[in-house]
Amino acid sequence: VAAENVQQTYENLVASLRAEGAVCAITSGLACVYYGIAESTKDCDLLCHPQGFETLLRLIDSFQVEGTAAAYRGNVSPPLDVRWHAGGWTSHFEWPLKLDPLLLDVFGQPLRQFSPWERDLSGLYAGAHTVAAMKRTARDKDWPFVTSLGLRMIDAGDERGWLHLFHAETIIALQQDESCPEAIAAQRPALQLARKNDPRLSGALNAERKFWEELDRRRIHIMEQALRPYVSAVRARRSPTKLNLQEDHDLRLQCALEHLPTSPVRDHGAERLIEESRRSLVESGIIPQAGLDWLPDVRRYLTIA
Amino acid sequence: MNRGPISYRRPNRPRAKVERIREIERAFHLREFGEELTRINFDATIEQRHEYLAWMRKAASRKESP
Repeated sequence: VAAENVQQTYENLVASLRAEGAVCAITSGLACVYYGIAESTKDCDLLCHPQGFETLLRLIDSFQVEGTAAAYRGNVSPPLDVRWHAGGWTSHFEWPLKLDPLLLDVFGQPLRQFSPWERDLSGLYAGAHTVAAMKRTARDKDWPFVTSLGLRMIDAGDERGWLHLFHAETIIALQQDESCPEAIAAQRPALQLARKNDPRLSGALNAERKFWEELDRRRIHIMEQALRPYVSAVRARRSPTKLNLQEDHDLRLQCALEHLPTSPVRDHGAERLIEESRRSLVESGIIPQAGLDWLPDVRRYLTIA
Repeated sequence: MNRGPISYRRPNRPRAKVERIREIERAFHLREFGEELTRINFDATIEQRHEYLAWMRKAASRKESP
């Protein structure tokens, strides 16, 4: 495969995986480009049901780009194994091309799951509902993509799009022609304010966004702390001679069994993570105490085994 | 195809409503991404959008942007 057409390269990989029975889909930035929201990324985020991991590892191993074989990326990547992916870990691969490496991140499940992703696909891509949920990160640049995907969903008659709108003027303009269903509004206090034309809508949307960002920041911190002993173990055990992908996988599996907790967020406590995030927003003055009422109940979206 | 389908079912809406939603969507893109990317998002095909992004990356690397 040539690296010129990055999108085609990854689409070929997904098509090959599906031909072998794996359930998988391209998500994140490349999915946004597909849905008509240009994002300058050539890295691929891939959702793959863990039942397909064995096939995926074999295909990544045999899938050469410009004659270059794939490898796990650095020492930080956990192994591609359901035990760790069920707990929210992701695996990182690369094709280390001379000019610019091609990067592939594999998710056994979305980090924020709003509905079963496997039933919500568009061609080789994850559904917009899944992509928008995954874009609720601590990075500023991701948020316009969330609202844009929500708008596309509403345009297509998918009312779940209302869950992804984070821009007050846009919601107010939409409400003149479309009504947000009661059941959807019940999931987001901000939408209930919108239905009453409450001037606090903008503040409530901002509070909700900051809440998702804080949850993501804290989740990443928990994962990074848990990762450290594993990274040291992989670094210490890696042989100076280059390992093939399967050998590297076996080594990482051994290091993970000894040094990597399968589910750090579960160990920390999902409820505790949520409470700490809420408290931090108030203590840092980002939202007033009364603003806690504007935050949605996110427990069911944090899919941590 | 300009944009990947969200659903294979067409919503039952009067044309004026469809146009109004697209207007709101376009206004949001203009505000967040600017004129050039809005054109790329609405008027280009998926392939053209990828070509444009590849060109952007190449231009950025020539100017040694990070």
